Amino acid sequence: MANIGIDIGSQNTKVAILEDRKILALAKVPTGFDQQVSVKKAIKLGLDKAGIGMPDSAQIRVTGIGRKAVPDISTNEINETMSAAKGAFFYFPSARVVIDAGAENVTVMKVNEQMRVLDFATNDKCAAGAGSFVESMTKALGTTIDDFAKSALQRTEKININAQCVIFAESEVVSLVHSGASRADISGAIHEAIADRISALVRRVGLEKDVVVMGGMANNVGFIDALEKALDVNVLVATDPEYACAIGAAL
Amino acid sequence: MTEVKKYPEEPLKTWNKAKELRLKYFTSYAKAHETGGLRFCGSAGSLNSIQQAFGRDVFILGSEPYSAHAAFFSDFARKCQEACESRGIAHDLCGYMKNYWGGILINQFILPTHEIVPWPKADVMWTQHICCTHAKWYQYAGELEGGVPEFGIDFNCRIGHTMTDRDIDYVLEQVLEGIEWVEKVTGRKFDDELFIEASLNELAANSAWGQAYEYNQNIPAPIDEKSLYSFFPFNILCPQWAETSALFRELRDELKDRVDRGIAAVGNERFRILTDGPPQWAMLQVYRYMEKVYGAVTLGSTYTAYWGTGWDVAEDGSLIAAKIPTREEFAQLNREARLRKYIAWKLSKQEAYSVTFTGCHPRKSALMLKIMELWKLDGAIIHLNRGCEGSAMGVLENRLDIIKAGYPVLTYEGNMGDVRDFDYAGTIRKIENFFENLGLEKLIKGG
Repeated sequence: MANIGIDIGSQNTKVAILEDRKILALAKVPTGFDQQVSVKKAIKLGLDKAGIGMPDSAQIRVTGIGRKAVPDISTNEINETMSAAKGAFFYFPSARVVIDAGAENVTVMKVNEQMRVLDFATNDKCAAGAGSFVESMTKALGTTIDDFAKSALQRTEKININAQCVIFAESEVVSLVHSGASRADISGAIHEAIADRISALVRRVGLEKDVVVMGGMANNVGFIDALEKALDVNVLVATDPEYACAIGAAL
Repeated sequence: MTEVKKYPEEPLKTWNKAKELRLKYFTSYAKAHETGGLRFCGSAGSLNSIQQAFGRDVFILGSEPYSAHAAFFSDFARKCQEACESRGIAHDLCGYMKNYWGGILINQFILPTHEIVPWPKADVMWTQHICCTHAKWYQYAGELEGGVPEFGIDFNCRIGHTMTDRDIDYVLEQVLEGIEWVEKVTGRKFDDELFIEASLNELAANSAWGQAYEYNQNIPAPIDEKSLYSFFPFNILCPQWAETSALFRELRDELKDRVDRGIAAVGNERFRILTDGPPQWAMLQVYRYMEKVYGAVTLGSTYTAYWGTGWDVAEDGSLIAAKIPTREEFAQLNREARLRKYIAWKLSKQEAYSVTFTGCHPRKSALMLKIMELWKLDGAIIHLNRGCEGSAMGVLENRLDIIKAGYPVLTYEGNMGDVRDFDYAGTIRKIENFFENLGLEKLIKGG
């Protein structure tokens, strides 16, 4: 019997279809305003990819910021820290700290070997460590997210982004552009600022190995590099990291 | 679905009396001039009996509880906050102070009935300097009101059971100077008899509050924190009134009766929570959500336990409601000795007060852990309060200390005075994550 896990994030709705812990399909659609519509679309896309129809009496478990929005579709729900822990363990059973960095929310969890969430910290009302921050900076630099992330690895000079707020940071980036700083150096500084922000959350729950990073931000090589430097550890990145919570929900 | 033990519930009989007293308190301040009375204003709990000794018709406004009360009416508070910001006052200053200054700026004062009356200008500012903001609060308020004389007393860190004679003298000397100052600016004399009457009422109220508070050590708790919020401000607003000590004695007796009969504040109690400083006043329904959905009852805090409450601290750190002096003990002393005894009682017995506003996190953590032990608590919820630098200082260290002691802790961001800094939906999500990670299933599907 296939199980369906849905992660309704602030930007994308992700679906994972699993059978006996084997991934049959992963799919995502923009969340948009109407979560019901997005979830239905994402499920259909996932089922099409898996080449199956909707299984009878399938478990459809939903997680993420919009998990309460689709009671007519889901059979049950799981909170985002639990689904993140399960998703992290699916890939790395050695996970003790899980960083879920999405578009708007960053949650850092400390978990034990039984996959129990012992403590967690979030970015609360500030998106400075999340994906939307990167998007905003990318726009300010007139580049793509992928190029922006990769260019951080080419930095030659250390400069600092002092502002912790997306709005102020954007203004600081504009000033740096006009002062002649290179794109790579600015990108490096931005990723360092994000990593500092998230490493502060990690220290709040306590740094322990292994550290697993998931969520859309985990695809950003500039961020991962900066985070490893800030934490002084090698982090583990899940395959298809933005689907890890959906996978956790499906398990 | 988890099966939960049900305790019987009953409404609090003293609840309506608290509402009546609150209305009387704010209305009498607003209308003080109609009967020739004087308005004293300042930080709540600035040694009220000393102020009351200048006449029965002296009405004292504790500005933080007023500002908390204003914050509860979020639309009104928003107007106050925005009035301050329009004047160029920084967003991140004290959330209470901005509700107070904003009230002056828009010339509006809100009563518990939601009635808005013109701002009642103070005649005298008599206050204490408990944090960096308080020192400026009344100076600027006085300027905004067109010039109100102000006298400030510095308590600094010199509060709590470790106070020395020198610390008490430090406050006493300021008080003696302050009495002379008030006599000069009001033309009124300090009345020793009235002081004795007021101070005995005040200490009796503070002690009775401690006795009432102790009943929450019982399982199930007879009263919850949200209800405590409706009573405890009288400890600092008008403890010198006979009605306050009478109300607290009645509350104490009612809680004892509830404990004897097994009456719970929350029938589904299964998880007992400590919280810390001022909450998000406009969003107190968060407490009801936790109770209803998870059976999680917040039943104590360093906030409701400290302000005005008189505690004796035992050698092992236990808190015991303090004994109060008799009338004879007070009456036989001369003015200076009597003031000294009053100040020593008030300041040395407010144990949590000192550690909450001085960022003294090791002492505050020790106190929180002691409350957790004595009140049989299961976890803590801490407010990262953007609206109060003083009470937010050191709270993340407190969090770590409590976690190290083996208790789970949740933090949430907000601003006691300004609902614009609070994310209700996000906080509910965090609460759900917190309890579910602890293995508490929802008692109500959907929540």
